[in-house]
Amino acid sequence: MDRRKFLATTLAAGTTAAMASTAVAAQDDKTIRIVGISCSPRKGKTTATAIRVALDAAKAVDPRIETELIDLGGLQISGSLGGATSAEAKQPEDDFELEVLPVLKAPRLPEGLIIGSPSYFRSVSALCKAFIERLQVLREPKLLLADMPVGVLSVGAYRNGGQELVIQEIQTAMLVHEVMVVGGKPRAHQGATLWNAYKDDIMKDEFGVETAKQLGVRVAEAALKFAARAS
Amino acid sequence: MNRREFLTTTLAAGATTSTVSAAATQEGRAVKIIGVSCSPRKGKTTAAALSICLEAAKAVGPGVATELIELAGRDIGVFDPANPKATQGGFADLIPVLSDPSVAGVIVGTPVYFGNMTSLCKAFLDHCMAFRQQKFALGGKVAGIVAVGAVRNGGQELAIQSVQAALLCQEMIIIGDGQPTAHFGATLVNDGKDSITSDEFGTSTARNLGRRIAEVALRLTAGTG
Repeated sequence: MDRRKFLATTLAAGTTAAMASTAVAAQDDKTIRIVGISCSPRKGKTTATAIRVALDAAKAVDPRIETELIDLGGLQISGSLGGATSAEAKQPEDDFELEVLPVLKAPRLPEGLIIGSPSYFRSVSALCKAFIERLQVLREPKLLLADMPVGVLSVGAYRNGGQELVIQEIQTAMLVHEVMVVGGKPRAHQGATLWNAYKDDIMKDEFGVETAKQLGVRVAEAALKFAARAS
Repeated sequence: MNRREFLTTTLAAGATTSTVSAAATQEGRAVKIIGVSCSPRKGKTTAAALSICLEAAKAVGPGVATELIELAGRDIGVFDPANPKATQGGFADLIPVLSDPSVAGVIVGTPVYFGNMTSLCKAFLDHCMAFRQQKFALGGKVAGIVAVGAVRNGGQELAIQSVQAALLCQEMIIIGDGQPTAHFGATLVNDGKDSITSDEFGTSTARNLGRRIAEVALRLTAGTG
Protein backbone atom coordinates (compact mmCIF):
# COMPACT_ATOMS: atom_id res chain seq x y z
CA MET A 1 0.00 0.00 0.00
CA ASP A 2 1.31 3.43 -0.84
CA ARG A 3 1.19 6.42 1.41
CA ARG A 4 -1.91 7.91 -0.20
CA LYS A 5 -3.90 4.73 0.16
CA PHE A 6 -2.75 4.47 3.72
CA LEU A 7 -3.97 7.94 4.54
CA ALA A 8 -7.29 7.29 2.87
CA THR A 9 -7.72 4.09 4.80
CA THR A 10 -6.81 5.68 8.06
CA LEU A 11 -9.21 8.56 7.50
CA ALA A 12 -11.97 6.21 6.51
CA ALA A 13 -11.40 4.11 9.57
CA GLY A 14 -11.68 7.05 11.88
CA THR A 15 -10.36 6.63 15.35
CA THR A 16 -11.37 3.10 16.20
CA ALA A 17 -9.04 1.23 18.44
CA ALA A 18 -8.38 -1.49 15.92
CA MET A 19 -6.98 0.92 13.40
CA ALA A 20 -5.00 2.88 15.95
CA SER A 21 -3.14 -0.21 17.05
CA THR A 22 -2.24 -1.12 13.51
CA ALA A 23 -1.31 2.30 12.19
CA VAL A 24 2.30 1.90 13.19
CA ALA A 25 2.73 -1.07 10.93
CA ALA A 26 1.18 0.73 8.01
CA GLN A 27 3.66 3.58 8.23
CA ASP A 28 6.18 1.19 6.87
CA ASP A 29 4.09 0.92 3.70
CA LYS A 30 4.03 -2.78 4.10
CA THR A 31 1.24 -5.12 3.41
CA ILE A 32 0.63 -7.72 6.07
CA ARG A 33 0.72 -11.16 4.56
CA ILE A 34 -1.00 -14.13 6.14
CA VAL A 35 -0.49 -17.52 4.58
CA GLY A 36 -2.73 -20.50 5.18
CA ILE A 37 -1.47 -24.03 4.62
CA SER A 38 -3.94 -26.82 4.01
CA CYS A 39 -2.32 -30.13 4.93
CA SER A 40 -4.95 -32.44 3.54
CA PRO A 41 -3.97 -34.79 0.74
CA ARG A 42 -7.41 -34.07 -0.69
CA LYS A 43 -7.05 -30.86 -2.65
CA GLY A 44 -9.73 -28.24 -2.26
CA LYS A 45 -11.77 -30.18 0.26
CA THR A 46 -12.85 -29.38 3.80
CA THR A 47 -9.51 -28.35 5.27
CA ALA A 48 -8.71 -26.02 2.36
CA THR A 49 -12.20 -24.52 2.51
CA ALA A 50 -11.95 -23.97 6.25
CA ILE A 51 -8.58 -22.27 5.86
CA ARG A 52 -10.05 -20.04 3.18
CA VAL A 53 -12.78 -19.04 5.63
CA ALA A 54 -10.14 -18.18 8.22
CA LEU A 55 -8.09 -16.21 5.70
CA ASP A 56 -11.14 -14.24 4.53
CA ALA A 57 -11.94 -13.35 8.12
CA ALA A 58 -8.33 -12.28 8.60
CA LYS A 59 -8.47 -10.10 5.52
CA ALA A 60 -11.59 -8.34 6.76
CA VAL A 61 -9.74 -7.19 9.88
CA ASP A 62 -7.61 -4.65 8.06
CA PRO A 63 -7.33 -3.53 4.44
CA ARG A 64 -3.59 -3.98 4.46
CA ILE A 65 -3.88 -7.67 5.06
CA GLU A 66 -3.23 -9.93 2.11
CA THR A 67 -3.84 -13.62 2.25
CA GLU A 68 -2.65 -16.64 0.40
CA LEU A 69 -3.65 -20.27 0.53
CA ILE A 70 -1.14 -23.03 -0.11
CA ASP A 71 -2.99 -26.28 -0.67
CA LEU A 72 -0.68 -29.24 -0.20
CA GLY A 73 -3.27 -31.58 -1.72
CA GLY A 74 -1.81 -33.44 -4.67
CA LEU A 75 1.76 -32.36 -3.94
CA GLN A 76 4.49 -34.90 -3.32
CA ILE A 77 6.01 -34.07 0.04
CA SER A 78 7.96 -36.53 2.17
CA GLY A 79 9.23 -36.11 5.69
CA SER A 80 12.77 -35.45 6.82
CA LEU A 81 15.26 -38.24 6.26
CA GLY A 82 16.62 -37.71 9.74
CA GLY A 83 20.06 -37.50 11.25
CA ALA A 84 21.93 -38.05 14.48
CA THR A 85 21.07 -34.42 15.31
CA SER A 86 18.53 -32.10 13.76
CA ALA A 87 21.30 -30.04 12.19
CA GLU A 88 22.55 -33.13 10.39
CA ALA A 89 19.09 -34.15 9.18
CA LYS A 90 18.90 -34.71 5.44
CA GLN A 91 15.94 -33.53 3.43
CA PRO A 92 14.47 -35.16 0.34
CA GLU A 93 14.00 -33.24 -2.89
CA ASP A 94 10.36 -32.90 -3.85
CA ASP A 95 7.46 -30.49 -4.21
CA PHE A 96 8.25 -28.82 -0.90
CA GLU A 97 11.31 -27.17 -2.41
CA LEU A 98 9.63 -26.52 -5.75
CA GLU A 99 6.07 -25.58 -4.91
CA VAL A 100 5.80 -24.71 -1.26
CA LEU A 101 8.93 -22.97 -0.04
CA PRO A 102 9.10 -20.40 -2.87
CA VAL A 103 5.46 -19.39 -2.31
CA LEU A 104 5.94 -19.25 1.43
CA LYS A 105 8.97 -16.97 1.05
CA ALA A 106 7.74 -14.73 -1.76
CA PRO A 107 8.31 -11.91 -1.53
CA ARG A 108 9.26 -12.54 2.09
CA LEU A 109 8.15 -14.82 4.87
CA PRO A 110 4.60 -13.98 5.95
CA GLU A 111 3.62 -12.00 9.03
CA GLY A 112 1.20 -14.70 10.09
CA LEU A 113 0.57 -18.36 9.44
CA ILE A 114 -2.48 -20.58 9.69
CA ILE A 115 -1.85 -24.30 9.49
CA GLY A 116 -4.72 -26.73 9.05
CA SER A 117 -4.80 -30.51 9.05
CA PRO A 118 -7.50 -33.14 8.87
CA SER A 119 -7.56 -35.48 11.83
CA TYR A 120 -6.41 -38.95 10.86
CA PHE A 121 -6.56 -41.40 13.73
CA ARG A 122 -6.57 -38.61 16.29
CA SER A 123 -3.49 -36.90 14.96
CA VAL A 124 -2.21 -34.83 12.04
CA SER A 125 -2.20 -36.29 8.53
CA ALA A 126 1.11 -37.83 7.50
CA LEU A 127 1.29 -35.08 4.88
CA CYS A 128 1.03 -32.45 7.61
CA LYS A 129 3.75 -34.11 9.63
CA ALA A 130 5.97 -34.27 6.55
CA PHE A 131 5.39 -30.58 5.86
CA ILE A 132 6.21 -29.68 9.46
CA GLU A 133 9.46 -31.61 9.31
CA ARG A 134 10.45 -29.85 6.11
CA LEU A 135 10.09 -26.46 7.77
CA GLN A 136 13.40 -27.42 9.33
CA VAL A 137 15.12 -25.39 6.60
CA LEU A 138 13.54 -22.29 8.16
CA ARG A 139 14.81 -23.26 11.60
CA GLU A 140 18.46 -24.01 11.11
CA PRO A 141 20.90 -22.40 10.94
CA LYS A 142 18.61 -19.47 11.76
CA LEU A 143 15.18 -19.36 13.39
CA LEU A 144 13.47 -17.57 10.52
CA LEU A 145 9.96 -18.17 11.81
CA ALA A 146 10.73 -16.81 15.26
CA ASP A 147 7.97 -14.63 16.75
CA MET A 148 5.63 -15.25 13.84
CA PRO A 149 2.01 -15.63 15.00
CA VAL A 150 0.72 -19.08 14.12
CA GLY A 151 -2.84 -20.32 14.46
CA VAL A 152 -4.04 -23.86 13.90
CA LEU A 153 -7.14 -25.40 12.42
CA SER A 154 -8.32 -28.98 12.28
CA VAL A 155 -11.13 -30.90 10.65
CA GLY A 156 -12.32 -34.19 12.08
CA ALA A 157 -14.82 -36.78 10.92
CA TYR A 158 -16.53 -36.95 14.29
CA ARG A 159 -17.67 -34.36 16.81
CA ASN A 160 -14.82 -35.17 19.16
CA GLY A 161 -12.67 -36.69 16.49
CA GLY A 162 -9.22 -35.64 17.55
CA GLN A 163 -9.49 -31.99 16.51
CA GLU A 164 -8.04 -30.81 19.80
CA LEU A 165 -5.20 -33.32 19.70
CA VAL A 166 -4.32 -32.34 16.14
CA ILE A 167 -4.18 -28.68 17.11
CA GLN A 168 -1.96 -29.47 20.07
CA GLU A 169 0.44 -31.46 17.93
CA ILE A 170 0.90 -28.67 15.41
CA GLN A 171 1.25 -26.05 18.12
CA THR A 172 3.90 -28.15 19.85
CA ALA A 173 5.84 -28.58 16.62
CA MET A 174 5.72 -24.90 15.80
CA LEU A 175 6.96 -23.91 19.25
CA VAL A 176 10.21 -25.52 18.16
CA HIS A 177 10.51 -22.59 15.75
CA GLU A 178 10.01 -20.02 18.52
CA VAL A 179 6.80 -18.88 16.90
CA MET A 180 4.01 -17.17 18.83
CA VAL A 181 1.18 -19.65 19.03
CA VAL A 182 -2.25 -18.05 19.05
CA GLY A 183 -5.71 -19.54 19.39
CA GLY A 184 -8.89 -17.94 18.12
CA LYS A 185 -11.07 -15.18 19.51
CA PRO A 186 -13.47 -16.23 22.27
CA ARG A 187 -15.16 -19.59 21.87
CA ALA A 188 -12.36 -20.74 19.61
CA HIS A 189 -9.64 -20.44 22.21
CA GLN A 190 -7.59 -23.42 21.12
CA GLY A 191 -7.96 -22.78 17.42
CA ALA A 192 -10.49 -23.73 14.77
CA THR A 193 -12.23 -27.06 15.24
CA LEU A 194 -14.40 -28.26 12.40
CA TRP A 195 -16.50 -31.32 11.88
CA ASN A 196 -16.93 -32.86 8.46
CA ALA A 197 -20.40 -34.23 9.15
CA TYR A 198 -21.99 -33.14 5.89
CA LYS A 199 -20.25 -35.08 3.13
CA ASP A 200 -17.46 -32.60 2.53
CA ASP A 201 -19.72 -29.53 2.69
CA ILE A 202 -17.87 -28.02 5.60
CA MET A 203 -19.76 -24.74 5.38
CA LYS A 204 -22.73 -26.53 6.91
CA ASP A 205 -20.80 -26.95 10.15
CA GLU A 206 -21.84 -23.59 11.52
CA PHE A 207 -20.04 -23.94 14.83
CA GLY A 208 -16.83 -25.02 13.14
CA VAL A 209 -16.95 -22.33 10.48
CA GLU A 210 -17.37 -19.73 13.20
CA THR A 211 -14.24 -21.02 14.96
CA ALA A 212 -12.36 -20.73 11.66
CA LYS A 213 -13.42 -17.09 11.40
CA GLN A 214 -12.42 -16.39 14.98
CA LEU A 215 -9.05 -17.98 14.32
CA GLY A 216 -8.53 -15.82 11.26
CA VAL A 217 -9.36 -12.66 13.18
CA ARG A 218 -7.01 -13.54 16.01
CA VAL A 219 -4.11 -14.38 13.70
CA ALA A 220 -4.73 -11.12 11.82
CA GLU A 221 -4.65 -9.10 15.01
CA ALA A 222 -1.48 -10.79 16.14
CA ALA A 223 0.14 -10.35 12.72
CA LEU A 224 -0.63 -6.62 12.78
CA LYS A 225 1.00 -6.31 16.18
CA PHE A 226 3.94 -8.40 15.05
CA ALA A 227 4.45 -6.27 11.95
CA ALA A 228 4.11 -3.07 13.94
CA ARG A 229 6.77 -4.11 16.35
CA ALA A 230 9.12 -5.47 13.72
CA SER A 231 9.07 -2.33 11.59
CA MET B 1 -10.34 -69.11 30.62
CA ASN B 2 -12.62 -71.09 32.87
CA ARG B 3 -12.63 -71.07 36.65
CA ARG B 4 -10.30 -74.06 37.01
CA GLU B 5 -7.75 -72.76 34.55
CA PHE B 6 -7.88 -69.39 36.21
CA LEU B 7 -7.19 -70.91 39.62
CA THR B 8 -4.36 -73.04 38.28
CA THR B 9 -2.74 -70.12 36.57
CA THR B 10 -3.13 -67.90 39.56
CA LEU B 11 -1.73 -70.50 41.95
CA ALA B 12 1.16 -71.32 39.68
CA ALA B 13 1.90 -67.70 39.12
CA GLY B 14 2.10 -66.99 42.81
CA ALA B 15 2.84 -63.39 43.46
CA THR B 16 5.35 -62.79 40.70
CA THR B 17 4.57 -61.94 37.14
CA SER B 18 7.47 -63.82 35.60
CA THR B 19 6.04 -67.16 36.65
CA VAL B 20 2.88 -66.41 34.75
CA SER B 21 4.84 -66.72 31.57
CA ALA B 22 6.45 -69.94 32.79
CA ALA B 23 3.00 -71.38 33.35
CA ALA B 24 1.94 -70.18 29.95
CA THR B 25 4.87 -71.84 28.27
CA GLN B 26 4.21 -75.10 30.08
CA GLU B 27 0.79 -75.11 28.52
CA GLY B 28 2.40 -74.67 25.12
CA ARG B 29 1.21 -71.18 24.48
CA ALA B 30 3.32 -69.07 22.17
CA VAL B 31 3.06 -65.42 21.36
CA LYS B 32 4.83 -63.22 18.89
CA ILE B 33 5.87 -59.67 19.59
CA ILE B 34 6.79 -57.47 16.64
CA GLY B 35 8.79 -54.28 16.90
CA VAL B 36 8.20 -51.70 14.18
CA SER B 37 10.93 -49.11 13.79
CA CYS B 38 9.56 -45.91 12.24
CA SER B 39 12.87 -44.14 11.74
CA PRO B 40 13.78 -43.19 8.17
CA ARG B 41 17.30 -44.26 9.13
CA LYS B 42 17.89 -47.99 9.22
CA GLY B 43 19.72 -49.63 12.09
CA LYS B 44 20.08 -46.50 14.19
CA THR B 45 18.92 -45.65 17.70
CA THR B 46 15.23 -46.44 17.31
CA ALA B 47 16.01 -49.89 15.95
CA ALA B 48 18.54 -50.36 18.75
CA ALA B 49 15.98 -49.36 21.39
CA LEU B 50 13.45 -51.77 19.91
CA SER B 51 16.03 -54.55 19.95
CA ILE B 52 16.46 -53.98 23.67
CA CYS B 53 12.68 -54.21 24.10
CA LEU B 54 12.46 -57.40 22.07
CA GLU B 55 15.30 -59.05 23.92
CA ALA B 56 13.58 -58.32 27.21
CA ALA B 57 10.33 -59.66 25.80
CA LYS B 58 12.04 -62.85 24.70
CA ALA B 59 13.60 -63.29 28.13
CA VAL B 60 10.15 -63.55 29.66
CA GLY B 61 9.89 -67.12 28.45
CA PRO B 62 10.57 -69.57 25.64
CA GLY B 63 7.01 -69.06 24.42
CA VAL B 64 7.81 -65.55 23.26
CA ALA B 65 9.03 -65.04 19.71
CA THR B 66 10.07 -61.64 18.43
CA GLU B 67 10.70 -59.89 15.16
CA LEU B 68 12.03 -56.46 14.28
CA ILE B 69 10.63 -54.70 11.23
CA GLU B 70 12.23 -51.51 9.97
CA LEU B 71 10.17 -49.16 7.85
CA ALA B 72 13.24 -47.38 6.48
CA GLY B 73 13.63 -48.03 2.78
CA ARG B 74 10.16 -49.54 2.40
CA ASP B 75 8.89 -46.61 0.39
CA ILE B 76 5.82 -45.92 2.51
CA GLY B 77 4.45 -42.56 1.37
CA VAL B 78 2.03 -40.16 3.01
CA PHE B 79 -1.48 -41.54 3.15
CA ASP B 80 -4.20 -40.28 0.84
CA PRO B 81 -7.63 -41.61 1.83
CA ALA B 82 -8.82 -41.17 -1.75
CA ASN B 83 -6.23 -43.62 -2.97
CA PRO B 84 -4.51 -45.47 -0.12
CA LYS B 85 -2.78 -48.04 -2.28
CA ALA B 86 -1.05 -45.45 -4.45
CA THR B 87 1.39 -44.58 -1.69
CA GLN B 88 1.44 -47.64 0.53
CA GLY B 89 4.62 -49.07 -1.03
CA GLY B 90 6.08 -51.79 1.15
CA PHE B 91 3.28 -51.42 3.67
CA ALA B 92 1.39 -54.00 1.62
CA ASP B 93 3.91 -56.65 2.69
CA LEU B 94 3.33 -55.80 6.35
CA ILE B 95 -0.44 -56.27 6.30
CA PRO B 96 -0.40 -60.10 6.55
CA VAL B 97 2.57 -60.04 8.94
CA LEU B 98 1.01 -57.71 11.49
CA SER B 99 -2.54 -59.03 11.27
CA ASP B 100 -1.43 -62.64 11.76
CA PRO B 101 -3.27 -64.08 14.77
CA SER B 102 0.03 -65.30 16.26
CA VAL B 103 1.07 -61.66 16.74
CA ALA B 104 -0.04 -60.76 20.23
CA GLY B 105 1.89 -57.56 20.67
CA VAL B 106 3.33 -54.73 18.62
CA ILE B 107 5.92 -52.25 19.81
CA VAL B 108 5.99 -49.10 17.73
CA GLY B 109 9.25 -47.18 17.91
CA THR B 110 9.74 -43.68 16.57
CA PRO B 111 12.35 -40.95 16.74
CA VAL B 112 10.99 -37.61 17.94
CA TYR B 113 10.82 -35.02 15.18
CA PHE B 114 9.34 -31.68 16.18
CA GLY B 115 7.75 -32.94 19.35
CA ASN B 116 5.97 -35.79 17.66
CA MET B 117 6.39 -39.07 15.82
CA THR B 118 8.13 -39.02 12.43
CA SER B 119 6.08 -38.48 9.30
CA LEU B 120 7.09 -42.00 8.32
CA CYS B 121 5.51 -43.25 11.53
CA LYS B 122 2.37 -41.25 10.84
CA ALA B 123 2.27 -42.54 7.28
CA PHE B 124 2.49 -46.08 8.65
CA LEU B 125 -0.28 -45.45 11.18
CA ASP B 126 -2.48 -43.80 8.55
CA HIS B 127 -2.02 -46.78 6.24
CA CYS B 128 -3.15 -48.95 9.18
CA MET B 129 -6.61 -47.89 7.99
CA ALA B 130 -6.34 -51.19 6.12
CA PHE B 131 -6.60 -53.11 9.40
CA ARG B 132 -9.72 -51.28 10.44
CA GLN B 133 -11.23 -52.28 7.14
CA GLN B 134 -10.26 -55.90 7.81
CA LYS B 135 -12.59 -56.14 10.80
CA PHE B 136 -10.07 -54.44 13.05
CA ALA B 137 -7.36 -57.02 12.48
CA LEU B 138 -5.13 -55.38 15.09
CA GLY B 139 -7.93 -55.30 17.66
CA GLY B 140 -7.10 -56.92 20.97
CA LYS B 141 -3.37 -57.00 20.32
CA VAL B 142 -1.19 -55.29 22.90
CA ALA B 143 0.75 -52.19 21.92
CA GLY B 144 3.61 -50.34 23.55
CA ILE B 145 5.52 -47.33 22.31
CA VAL B 146 9.19 -46.38 22.18
CA ALA B 147 10.34 -42.83 21.49
CA VAL B 148 13.92 -41.69 20.99
CA GLY B 149 14.54 -37.97 21.28
CA ALA B 150 17.55 -35.75 20.80
CA VAL B 151 17.47 -34.31 24.30
CA ARG B 152 16.24 -35.23 27.77
CA ASN B 153 12.73 -33.81 27.63
CA GLY B 154 12.68 -33.76 23.87
CA GLY B 155 9.07 -34.61 23.09
CA GLN B 156 9.30 -38.32 23.90
CA GLU B 157 6.14 -38.20 25.99
CA LEU B 158 4.19 -36.26 23.37
CA ALA B 159 5.27 -38.58 20.59
CA ILE B 160 4.23 -41.60 22.65
CA GLN B 161 0.86 -40.05 23.38
CA SER B 162 0.20 -39.35 19.70
CA VAL B 163 1.06 -42.90 18.67
CA GLN B 164 -1.12 -44.25 21.46
CA ALA B 165 -4.06 -42.13 20.27
CA ALA B 166 -3.77 -43.60 16.78
CA LEU B 167 -3.47 -47.17 18.02
CA LEU B 168 -6.54 -46.81 20.22
CA CYS B 169 -8.40 -46.25 16.94
CA GLN B 170 -7.39 -49.82 16.06
CA GLU B 171 -8.88 -51.22 19.27
CA MET B 172 -5.42 -52.18 20.43
CA ILE B 173 -4.67 -52.51 24.11
CA ILE B 174 -2.17 -49.89 25.15
CA ILE B 175 0.39 -50.54 27.84
CA GLY B 176 3.25 -48.52 29.28
CA ASP B 177 6.68 -49.61 30.41
CA GLY B 178 6.46 -51.99 33.33
CA GLN B 179 7.69 -51.55 36.85
CA PRO B 180 9.72 -50.14 38.38
CA THR B 181 9.79 -47.28 35.87
CA ALA B 182 6.13 -47.87 34.90
CA HIS B 183 5.18 -44.78 32.94
CA PHE B 184 4.16 -44.01 29.37
CA GLY B 185 6.43 -46.30 27.41
CA ALA B 186 10.13 -46.34 26.61
CA THR B 187 11.73 -42.90 26.51
CA LEU B 188 15.29 -42.71 25.23
CA VAL B 189 17.84 -40.08 24.30
CA ASN B 190 20.20 -40.21 21.35
CA ASP B 191 23.57 -38.94 22.56
CA GLY B 192 24.06 -37.03 19.31
CA LYS B 193 26.33 -39.73 17.94
CA ASP B 194 23.63 -42.27 17.21
CA SER B 195 24.10 -44.24 20.39
CA ILE B 196 21.73 -44.94 23.27
CA THR B 197 24.00 -47.18 25.31
CA SER B 198 24.96 -44.45 27.76
CA ASP B 199 21.29 -43.69 28.45
CA GLU B 200 20.84 -45.95 31.44
CA PHE B 201 17.41 -44.72 32.39
CA GLY B 202 16.15 -44.84 28.81
CA THR B 203 17.40 -48.34 28.15
CA SER B 204 15.81 -49.50 31.42
CA THR B 205 12.45 -48.18 30.22
CA ALA B 206 12.98 -50.09 26.97
CA ARG B 207 13.66 -53.31 28.87
CA ASN B 208 10.67 -52.78 31.13
CA LEU B 209 8.42 -52.11 28.15
CA GLY B 210 9.58 -55.26 26.41
CA ARG B 211 9.05 -57.40 29.47
CA ARG B 212 5.66 -55.88 30.20
CA ILE B 213 4.28 -56.32 26.70
CA ALA B 214 5.32 -59.99 26.67
CA GLU B 215 3.74 -60.58 30.07
CA VAL B 216 0.47 -58.96 29.10
CA ALA B 217 0.43 -60.71 25.72
CA LEU B 218 0.84 -64.07 27.42
CA ARG B 219 -1.86 -63.29 29.94
CA LEU B 220 -4.29 -62.23 27.23
CA THR B 221 -3.50 -65.30 25.18
CA ALA B 222 -4.17 -67.41 28.26
CA GLY B 223 -7.53 -65.67 28.53
CA THR B 224 -8.55 -66.70 25.04
CA GLY B 225 -7.00 -70.18 25.04
